[in-house]
Amino acid sequence: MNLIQVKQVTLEYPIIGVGSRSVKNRVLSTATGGLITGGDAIPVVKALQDVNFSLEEGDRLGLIGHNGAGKSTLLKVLAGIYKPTSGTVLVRGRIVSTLNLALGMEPEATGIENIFIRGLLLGMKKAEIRRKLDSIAEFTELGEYLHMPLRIYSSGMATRLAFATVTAMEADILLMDEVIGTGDARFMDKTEHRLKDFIHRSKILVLASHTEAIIRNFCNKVLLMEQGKIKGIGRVDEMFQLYYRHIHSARLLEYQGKRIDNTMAIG
Amino acid sequence: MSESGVALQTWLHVHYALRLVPAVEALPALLGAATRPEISVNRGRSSKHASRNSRMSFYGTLRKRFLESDLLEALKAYDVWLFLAWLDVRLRYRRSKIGPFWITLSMAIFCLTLGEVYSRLLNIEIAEYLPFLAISFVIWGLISSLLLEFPNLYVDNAAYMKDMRVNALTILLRGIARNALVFAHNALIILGIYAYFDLWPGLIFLLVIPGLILVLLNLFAIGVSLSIIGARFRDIAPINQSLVQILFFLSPIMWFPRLVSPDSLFLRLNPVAYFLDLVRSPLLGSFPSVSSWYVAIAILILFTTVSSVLYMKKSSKIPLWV
Repeated sequence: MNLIQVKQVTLEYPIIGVGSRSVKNRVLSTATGGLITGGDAIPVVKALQDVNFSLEEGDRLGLIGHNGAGKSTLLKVLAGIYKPTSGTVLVRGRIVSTLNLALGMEPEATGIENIFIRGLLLGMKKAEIRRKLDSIAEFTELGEYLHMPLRIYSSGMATRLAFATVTAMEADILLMDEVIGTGDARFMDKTEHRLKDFIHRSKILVLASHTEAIIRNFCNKVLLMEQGKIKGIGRVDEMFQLYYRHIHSARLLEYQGKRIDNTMAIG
Repeated sequence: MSESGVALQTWLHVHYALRLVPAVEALPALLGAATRPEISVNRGRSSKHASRNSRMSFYGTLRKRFLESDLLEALKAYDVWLFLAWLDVRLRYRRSKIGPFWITLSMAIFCLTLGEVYSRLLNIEIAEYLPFLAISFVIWGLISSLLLEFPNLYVDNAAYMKDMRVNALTILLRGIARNALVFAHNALIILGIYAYFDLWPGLIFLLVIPGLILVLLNLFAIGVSLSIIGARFRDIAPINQSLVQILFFLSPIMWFPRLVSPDSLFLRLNPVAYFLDLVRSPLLGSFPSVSSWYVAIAILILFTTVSSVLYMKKSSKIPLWV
């Protein structure tokens, strides 16, 4: 039984590098101890605050919200990349996260070798990759190019290769940051078909996207985030209504604020 | 050396080798404490159960933690890091004619030149000096390149660490495996030296295996700490770099240890001197000193402890730092 349980998760992201990343500063700050106190603390961003939800098999969750609302961070917490500062995350099942398709491509390695690199990093066994190699190669339609180094590929060809490898994975839980694709018009149908199949094979999907059509296409549940908090979770229609009402009221506030500013400037 | 002397030496080595066994066993157990504290991905049960069950013996708890640890997970993923390390070496030299043997060749040229010059400067027979220098230098190459790599390890792999759940120890093992491969290429120089000077160390040669394993375990334990600290504090890499440079001159690589008094602090307080002895002496046909075994094991235990604690407390922060 695959599931995701997120309980009261808070993630504080330390921003090191604004003055406190080096040993030298540490030593100096102890030497001048007591004088500058507040300035030494590492600034922290609360990327997630008190996030609670749980998903079961069959759930296809869409994450929506503004840039910086915490969608990607939440995906990374689910993927096990970030450990929450407090709260617990329980994930049961094989996770595949396709957050960045261009990751881990070696320009000097051949296409075949790149399939192995990515497959291994995603958690496949060598035997498993070997079994799937033919079908991956066939899908990419790269033919002889698969034995050439990646550096001579066009970016579209490289994306096709990565896409084919990733979508060959058997995922119980699929985490995606925006829908992956290959962008080639001739290839579009084939890609879409394979992507749909990939998504339908997974038991749970969590997909962050800014495109309403994509969320409506793949998801049966939506989680609206704002400033690291859950604004709402529920049916797709409801959440989009909430989202747009929200954008609308924010615009309205902004507009009113400008008017007040203007009046004050005039006054 | 008289026959009984050799027998005594051999006995001593077996004796200490046996003492080594519990220390090696303790390594996974100690590092086993370094379980990934949160997110029991794929495992379902959290380690809370282990501590709650008071009837479970101390050893049982350690065992359980080891089974859930990142270390075991990384070791099981050996096909990943071995393949990637092998590919790293191959790719670097793919477009050259003699490939990875450039490593061997450049090291050989370096050793020959340096051996020629320094044997005259130090007024030592080249037949004595060159084998010593070449072997020392090949070993130092392994130790120094790893020490230099550690602090930047996670920074260099930031793209992976921020994008998928990668076990930090898998990355570390990839680095160690890659450098071990380079070392294997350089070891050909040693064979060349044997052939040229018609040296053959005899069966003592086999002691290089436990020696090398112990040195690699040490480097792994040091690497866990150094890579985490290096990810957090960016000054560590340059500091470390200058320290490694100094260490080269302080260690008996270009000079014979017998040239300084045995009580010399260069030799006594320098871990590298012990590591060198463990691998070099068998290759030159003599026994490493017993104290080398002692000290190397002591350093291993020390760093294993420090690294376990550091890893347990801080490893989950690495993706946030890099």
